[in-house]
Amino acid sequence: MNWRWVSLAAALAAIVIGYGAFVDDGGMPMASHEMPEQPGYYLKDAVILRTREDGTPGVELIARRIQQQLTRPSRAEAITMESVRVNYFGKEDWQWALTADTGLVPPNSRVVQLEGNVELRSLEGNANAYLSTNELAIDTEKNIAYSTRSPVQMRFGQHAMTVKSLRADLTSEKLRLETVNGRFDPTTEQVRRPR
Amino acid sequence: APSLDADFVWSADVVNSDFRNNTLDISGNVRVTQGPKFIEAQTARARNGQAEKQQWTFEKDVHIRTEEADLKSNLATAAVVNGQIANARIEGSPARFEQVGTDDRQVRGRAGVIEYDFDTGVVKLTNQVWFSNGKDEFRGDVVIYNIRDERVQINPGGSSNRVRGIIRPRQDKASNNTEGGA
Repeated sequence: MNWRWVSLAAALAAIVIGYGAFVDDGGMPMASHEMPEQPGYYLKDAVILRTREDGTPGVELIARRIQQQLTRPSRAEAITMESVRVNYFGKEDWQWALTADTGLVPPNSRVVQLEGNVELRSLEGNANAYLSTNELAIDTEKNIAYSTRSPVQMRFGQHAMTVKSLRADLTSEKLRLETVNGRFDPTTEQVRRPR
Repeated sequence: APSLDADFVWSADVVNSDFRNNTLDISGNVRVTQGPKFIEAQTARARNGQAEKQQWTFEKDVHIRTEEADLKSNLATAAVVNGQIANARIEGSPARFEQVGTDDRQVRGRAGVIEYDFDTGVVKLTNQVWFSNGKDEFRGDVVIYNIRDERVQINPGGSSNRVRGIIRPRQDKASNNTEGGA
């Protein structure tokens, strides 16, 4: 055994431990710093229903996985979601369905950032009215959906539209689209995803 | 004859849409094109987004152009059937019509209301009509002009008001007469 290496390693360890102890402010035991980032909680195949004050359903969130992420060092809480579906309940019936590959709620934020095959579809009368995009943000307090970066493809009856930016009031079902190019396109198959 | 089956394409600065009432409120540099035809306006509203027959209403600086007709007014409604602009009805004070492609003379008309059938090429002017085939002028209640065979009918269904017209001698004959007579 080469003692010289052993003593050198020990000295190095002492330095590291000493440095660790010096900077550590939380008085946490040393072992937890090295451990991989732990999820606060996670849910699999979860269905979360948020009701209104009068008990009627408001928003139903369905996801294959929901995970609370404790971000270091501030230990703030972010939530990530996979295979997300959000159903919005209107006055009498389900009004909107929103689907996306992933969702993220950053720490201390009321905005859900959805990404990947995002689709917002009206469930009432106008079944052939929906929009699809790559990214969409939802302000859960104001019930507003708005596009962030990618263009939005929209289907409205027999018209297909490409829109530079969008803002949808999910309560009143009113949408505002900017820089719009439309085309009469009676084919009802899925609108092509934006590249 | 008009080009058929060209794509019905449109663009605008802003669209306010209401999924519930099936309406598109379109504003800012609105432009609808279908092959060589186009309709321009500052605002438009498309109703019945689902239906095969939709009604589009255009307002402010409305300009409709096809291969054979040019129409201008403050207000216009167009019927769009299966993505084809079928006809347009324009109103103005007055609304204006001009035939396109007649190099030698200017066939024009002004009226409170002008209806134009994109398929048949028939233009119907009503409500204080003034019409000129580039040489003669007419005033009446109703003028029906067929662009394709250039036939004009004035007050075809009869009217309480009389037709008034100015028939001018043909330009070449007029000049011969003056030379001969001098």
